[in-house]
Amino acid sequence: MAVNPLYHQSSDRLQEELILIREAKKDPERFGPLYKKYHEQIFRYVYQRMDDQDLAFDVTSKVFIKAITNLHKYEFRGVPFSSWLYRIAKSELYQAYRDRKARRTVNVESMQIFEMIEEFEENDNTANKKKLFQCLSLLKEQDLQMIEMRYFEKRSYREIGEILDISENNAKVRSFRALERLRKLFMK
Amino acid sequence: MNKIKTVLDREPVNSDFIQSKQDFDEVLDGVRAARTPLWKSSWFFGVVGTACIVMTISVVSIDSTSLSTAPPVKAENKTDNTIQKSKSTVFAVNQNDTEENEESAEALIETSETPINVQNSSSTENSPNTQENRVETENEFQSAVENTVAGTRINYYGGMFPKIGGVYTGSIKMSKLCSGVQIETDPDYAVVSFKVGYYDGAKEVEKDVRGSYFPAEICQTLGQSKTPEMITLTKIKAEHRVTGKTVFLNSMNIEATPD
Repeated sequence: MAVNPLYHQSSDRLQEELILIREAKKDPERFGPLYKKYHEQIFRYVYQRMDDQDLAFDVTSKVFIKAITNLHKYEFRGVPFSSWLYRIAKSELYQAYRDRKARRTVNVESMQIFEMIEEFEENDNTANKKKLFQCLSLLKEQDLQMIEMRYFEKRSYREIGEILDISENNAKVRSFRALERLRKLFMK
Repeated sequence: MNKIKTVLDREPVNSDFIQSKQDFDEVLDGVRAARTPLWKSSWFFGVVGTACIVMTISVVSIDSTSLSTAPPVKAENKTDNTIQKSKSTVFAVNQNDTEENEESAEALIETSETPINVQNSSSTENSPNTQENRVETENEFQSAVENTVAGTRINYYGGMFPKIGGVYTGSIKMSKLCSGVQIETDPDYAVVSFKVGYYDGAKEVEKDVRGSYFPAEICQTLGQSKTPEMITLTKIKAEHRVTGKTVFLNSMNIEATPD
């Protein structure tokens, strides 16, 4: 399976990013380049999980406000800064769900549905598409999160691990189990 | 959480549109608004709170230290016609008697700002012997002995301890108590009135007594008892023999034992 190339950065680029972070820690106004770099990614991550575009922009802004406010707590772990931002975005998203401002939404494309049905070795017909749709909404939040990140957004296990603050192996196991649960629901 | 909504093939958002929505200044404003002001931060409260407690403790300890180690009032000071905040008028306060405390406090306030006028004093005061005696008395007043009663620090001034038949607290023989003894204290002061509390065999009785002598009628009542009787002497009012200023002395609890 192809993996989202955005996550993977050379060590030089990671070092450049680290310099920007150090400068931003001293002066929040220096956070500008990082904001420009990651705004779209974070917005897409947020908007993918809700149906209100304006609210998605609001949540994205909150993510960056929180990131700047808590930048002094950030520790470089040799992975892109985006992992830390995604983690903040995840918590802000859940806050929005809890406040009943946003509704948990799963946005899928036909191509992704097709790939998944192929994975289950079933026919790509309308009935199966509908069934898979229903099964997705029946999944538990943890499993749905894994399916979204691994199969729809094509994130690497390493990145999933960084976002969820778990090991790469654990991310692998969890995504496999989530897929198995979806398969079971689908085969019922 | 609401039920999960699934959307198929939602119209993708254009990158240019997303970039047009970027507003870093708004984010910075949000950061400024999100920051808690200095006076609201927890560490500020911690530091200020601790400083307040330390200051309060030090002020209280300094105050009590200065009370017990204050230098004696010198005789020469008496020549000034000024208000002397004399420590000699500070007396022990019985912690068990709140009402008495208030009265004592009033009396202390009244007597602590007494102008001491040499001209108004008796002519003998100017003689060296008299002055020496006064200084001694003052020193006696100042020699505070720190005692602890029920965990509370109280400064007692030995010269102003009331005594009856040589007893301040504890047992006294009934015969001695009823042999015409009086409440004694510092020679400069005379006891003018007090309250006696005792058990007359049926109920607790409290009587006001004028003068310093223990009343004979109470002796008659107490004499009938064959068991030790607890007698409380409260609101002991004493008057300065020269200035006429009044103070309240320590309350006394004595046990009158039958012979």
